[in-house]
Amino acid sequence: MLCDICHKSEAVLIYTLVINNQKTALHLCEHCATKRELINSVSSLGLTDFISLISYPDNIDKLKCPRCGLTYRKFISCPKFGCSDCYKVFEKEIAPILRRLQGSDEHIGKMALNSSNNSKEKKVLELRKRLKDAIAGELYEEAARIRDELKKLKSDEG
Amino acid sequence: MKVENPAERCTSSGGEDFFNITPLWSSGEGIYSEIVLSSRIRLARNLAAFKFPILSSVKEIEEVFAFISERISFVPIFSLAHFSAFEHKLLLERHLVSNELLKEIAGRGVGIFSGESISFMLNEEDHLRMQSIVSGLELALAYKKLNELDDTFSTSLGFAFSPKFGYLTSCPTNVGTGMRASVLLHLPALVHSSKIRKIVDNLASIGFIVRGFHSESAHIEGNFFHLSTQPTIGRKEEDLISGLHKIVMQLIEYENSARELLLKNAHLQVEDKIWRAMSILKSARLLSVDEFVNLSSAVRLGVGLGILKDVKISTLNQLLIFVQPAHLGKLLGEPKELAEYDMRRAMYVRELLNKGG
Ligand SMILES: [Zn+2]
Ligand SMILES: [Zn+2]
Repeated sequence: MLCDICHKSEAVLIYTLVINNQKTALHLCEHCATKRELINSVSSLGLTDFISLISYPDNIDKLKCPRCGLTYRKFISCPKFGCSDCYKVFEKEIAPILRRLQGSDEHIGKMALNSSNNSKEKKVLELRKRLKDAIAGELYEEAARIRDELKKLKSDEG
Repeated sequence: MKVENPAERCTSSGGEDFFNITPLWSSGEGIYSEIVLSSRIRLARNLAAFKFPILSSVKEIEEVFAFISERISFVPIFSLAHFSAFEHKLLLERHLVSNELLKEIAGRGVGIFSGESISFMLNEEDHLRMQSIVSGLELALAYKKLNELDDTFSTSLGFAFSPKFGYLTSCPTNVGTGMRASVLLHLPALVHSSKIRKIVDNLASIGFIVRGFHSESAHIEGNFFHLSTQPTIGRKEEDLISGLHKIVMQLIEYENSARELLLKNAHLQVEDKIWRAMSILKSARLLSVDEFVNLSSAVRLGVGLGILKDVKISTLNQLLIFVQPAHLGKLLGEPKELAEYDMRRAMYVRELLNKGG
């Protein structure tokens, strides 16, 4: 078996890591083991763990973020989100992973100042920006929905 | 955009070049600064009105840059394009930018102020990566500084936030607080006693990340470690910070008792090692970065043990920054031959240490 770090030399020892009470084995060559003797490379394993826990739902090919166009398949190959809406679109898929990795999927920390009293001005700005994105991405249904929302905001103004 | 010419902004009132100025965090002030070099808080933030950089076009990324520069006019923001490739290396060595940020130049930027104790990257993986860094074990202070800026930014920029998931980040492993708290530690006696491996394993199992001196690599140099928090969701910022603080206090205690034991069992050998390290640094004609970092660890231990009385922690911190290749090149005029670096590094170290600093 080749070394998990350099992928060049033969692995001679197994280094066991414990992350959130789960064991992961790293196979290391002599050289990398000495170099990393005291280091457990947990840093990169955060994302590796995340990838290993990704599930494959039945509707996998329909899962797509309408705002940024990220598909769930693409997310699986590179688990980074393309916009804030992705969290809503893929909520069912990522919440269980967060629960397993971090023991929770509920934020209890600081609340963003802008979240509670999102001024209308900012909301309109955001919607306009998203409308532009939707049109650019030829997502006309989404664009129509945003346009309605914008109209509603303006009519609320009276 | 408020700031167009970084050269202008990068000049201090004394007319000195920005990169020749020692960052505030290296002052050696703050508690336990021999063992805890610095405390750092990082916050990942995104703007609700824009897609994340990873799926944005260059034009969209430039729009984000313009949007932020317009609204954040009280902070100097520099576009990466205004720096030379050489200056990018300097920024990297200062930990003001990441390798990731430097992969693209257009629409990428950096904000630096308060003697570098607060800085942020624009359009890296997230729209904003803000950090505050202070000398010694001062995590709460570092958070307080950054938290205030975060609120100001939040009001003027409108951060992507969901009541369920918290601050929304491009990588789901950062979602929630978007925060990582970390310290740079110097633990020579624990490394020597070989207890460190067990400690590192235990730290990992309770949710801490341990990395080497250069936080982007995992190599250990000179007994220096980065220790940082891993969880970002389901915990309060204050609890994550006090959790790390408690662990660091415990590590300091372990390190100190390992030092006592070391002195009890091998006092003369320890003293010998420290004085030899000091002599080499004061007289060597060639020094590699690795050799310097290792020897400076021994000297640092000597200061901590009270054996070396005329060396300041601030000098050792300053050396750790300025012996890096780009900084050396800047200080001494860019050397033409790569081999010159070791010679000039040794010269610089000699000068500073023989000054009685
Ligand atoms: Zn290897
Ligand atoms: Zn999206």
